[in-house]
Amino acid sequence: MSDFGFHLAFWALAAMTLGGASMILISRNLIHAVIWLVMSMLGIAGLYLTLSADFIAVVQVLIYVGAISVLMLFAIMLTPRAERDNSQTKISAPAGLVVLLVMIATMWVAVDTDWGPVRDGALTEQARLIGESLIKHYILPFEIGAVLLTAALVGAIALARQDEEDGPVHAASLQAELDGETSIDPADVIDPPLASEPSDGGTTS
Amino acid sequence: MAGLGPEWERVGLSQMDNVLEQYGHLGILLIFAAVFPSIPLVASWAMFKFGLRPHLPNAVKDDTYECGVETEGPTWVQFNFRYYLVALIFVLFDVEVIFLFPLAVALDSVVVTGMVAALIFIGVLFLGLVYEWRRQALEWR
Amino acid sequence: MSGLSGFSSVLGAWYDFRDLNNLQRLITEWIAEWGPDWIASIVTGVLGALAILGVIGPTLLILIWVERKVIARFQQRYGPNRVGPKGLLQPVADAVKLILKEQLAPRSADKLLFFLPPVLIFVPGILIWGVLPFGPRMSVADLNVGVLFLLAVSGTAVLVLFMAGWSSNNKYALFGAMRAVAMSISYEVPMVLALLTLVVFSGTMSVNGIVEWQQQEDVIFILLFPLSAVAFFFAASAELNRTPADISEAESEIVAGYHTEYSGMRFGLFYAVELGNTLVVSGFIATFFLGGWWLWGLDQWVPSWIILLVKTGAVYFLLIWTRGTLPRLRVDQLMGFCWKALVPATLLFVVVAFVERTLLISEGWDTTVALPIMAVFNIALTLGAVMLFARVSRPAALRRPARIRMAGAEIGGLRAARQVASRTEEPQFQVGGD
Repeated sequence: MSDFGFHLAFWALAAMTLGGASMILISRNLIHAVIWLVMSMLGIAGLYLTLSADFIAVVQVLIYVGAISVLMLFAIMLTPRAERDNSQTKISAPAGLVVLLVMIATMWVAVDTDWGPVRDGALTEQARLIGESLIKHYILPFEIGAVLLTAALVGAIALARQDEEDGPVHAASLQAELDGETSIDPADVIDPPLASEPSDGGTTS
Repeated sequence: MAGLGPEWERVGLSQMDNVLEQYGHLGILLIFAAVFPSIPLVASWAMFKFGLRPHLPNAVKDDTYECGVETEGPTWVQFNFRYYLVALIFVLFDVEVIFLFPLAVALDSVVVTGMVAALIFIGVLFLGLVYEWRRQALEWR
Repeated sequence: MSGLSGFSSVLGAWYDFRDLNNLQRLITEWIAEWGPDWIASIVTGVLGALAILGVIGPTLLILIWVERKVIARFQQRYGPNRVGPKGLLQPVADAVKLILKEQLAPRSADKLLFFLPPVLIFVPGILIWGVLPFGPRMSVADLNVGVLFLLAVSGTAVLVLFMAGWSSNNKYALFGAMRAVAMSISYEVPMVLALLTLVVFSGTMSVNGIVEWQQQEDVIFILLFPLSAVAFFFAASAELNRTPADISEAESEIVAGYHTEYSGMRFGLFYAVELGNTLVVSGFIATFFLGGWWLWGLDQWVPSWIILLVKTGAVYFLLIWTRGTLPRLRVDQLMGFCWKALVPATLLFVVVAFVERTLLISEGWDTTVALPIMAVFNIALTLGAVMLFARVSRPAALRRPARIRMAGAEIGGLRAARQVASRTEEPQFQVGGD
């Protein structure tokens, strides 16, 4: 790959990634922060491409940009206090300090590490090799991954069910209706019950 | 990197170069893709500059649209938690599929072991789906 | 256009349009004579991009006309026939009108995020044309991970939807956007699983590779995995927000959903993207399930891209047919159908594909014998699944004829009708589904 093109791509993508990340720190609106995060993730995907890791790059876009950012956006939409301006918090200075320390530590470790033997030459059949090593060398983590994912699913549903008991009114009554406990008896419509007779159901949804 | 067998042979740089060249072409297509829709927008703006496109803002027109009536209440509404559940389940299935794609491509070298591993993997996640179904978390999305 | 090795055609000359690579190779070699290699590469990329856009641009205009005319015929009316001969200039008139319309933006809309979505939503739609193969080596990019690339890029369109809805600062737009996003991501799962089935069975993630596998084995995937094909078709039409799954744009329900606040050409772009995406999705359905540019040897004489265009047109017609015929489904019906019917069904077929491919490899069966048997088995399984689905979803209405499930307010007329139905013990209405 031509050196100039490679360098150009690297610096542009690095600017995109770091710029996006900095804007996350600066922006006051949570939704804006997520959009900058998406830009950062796309920059990282591009950097994977410059490292010739095309499978990982595509997976990064698919999972992070396609799934996780949507998850974050939905989580924000469900949070009532997400609307406020996020700049005026008491914790912003100490948090900034912690983040700065973590960043310095990470950069130190990254520069200090000897990053392994792959200096030149890259693999063209990456997905296939990943698949092979998943089965030949990492089969237990592979299956435990499945269990972990299912545990996350079960946990989310368990939490959601707790929420539902005191959740929004329309969800609960809708749930009741779909469970087969319709509250209005059709007979009541044609022949309304007399005052002395008990009527069956409660209120409609 | 311990634990990796001899299959991690390096392939020549020139082959990967060609693959990356493809992404370069896609990058060029991306730039064109961003420019292409701008053309009608620029044309529309040009029409505005030439006075052919009206620009008559007034208080009512610039209001948020709510079928002609005044906006009632704040724009932000409380959403049902089921949206979050859908997103979560989607993430989980996406990650599951990401594991299955390399396995699918490598199946001809890890045949029966791979198949059994894949079936266990899919089975575990299918159990999650069944649990979700029974707990009626799949109703009314 | 990756021309690695020569395409063995009868005439390799530049005017042999069966392989567009010939023309491209000529230009590339001419440039490589006097310039460095990277200029040739960039020019190739630009040529490819211009070719794609040159295809999309006019095609979009024609498609608007085709769609409106065909749907009109389904509804036994004429469709546009005033502007130009047979209404052919109608799309042009529409485009001119949209350009000249006043562009409103809500005062309280998010300034930056409001103007981006009409442009951004085009990007994924055009980018996936890059991996669609028009011939043996005729695609803008022949990626090793083409299938994943397709899925990844379609996934980013979801974010743009949300951006459009949220930045409008309009409850209904936001609500529509949330619903559209939830539906989009739900229907991505069956799409991904259907494509996973193909990848498992053919052993390659490259789109060209899948077509070449079909060429090699002399079979098209719709015969081997019919349920995956149908699931992909339905999931794709749901992703495209077309009826029966256009709940996010139903004018009667939520104004215009996430693009309520967009007027003029911005709205025109949303509309155009929907059509462009429909075309490319038809192209991919034709490629994955119907053999793409290959047609049992016919591609030696007829240019392969013409074959692909014909197949794409057929699938596109099928999409218009379903749009013109089927009623709109409710959002809870759609979600239920996706998670309770499509996902288990496509997952089942992934398992079937794994088992069958393992049998093929480990037992070393001859594919000319084994594949038809597997095809028959799979078709039987598909029919079984469909009948099971029909049986599971039908008796609910038959067992309790008075049960009409409606989310929300009950209307007096339907209540009375329900009462009549339960009195006469006959299924008068089978409204609502699963």
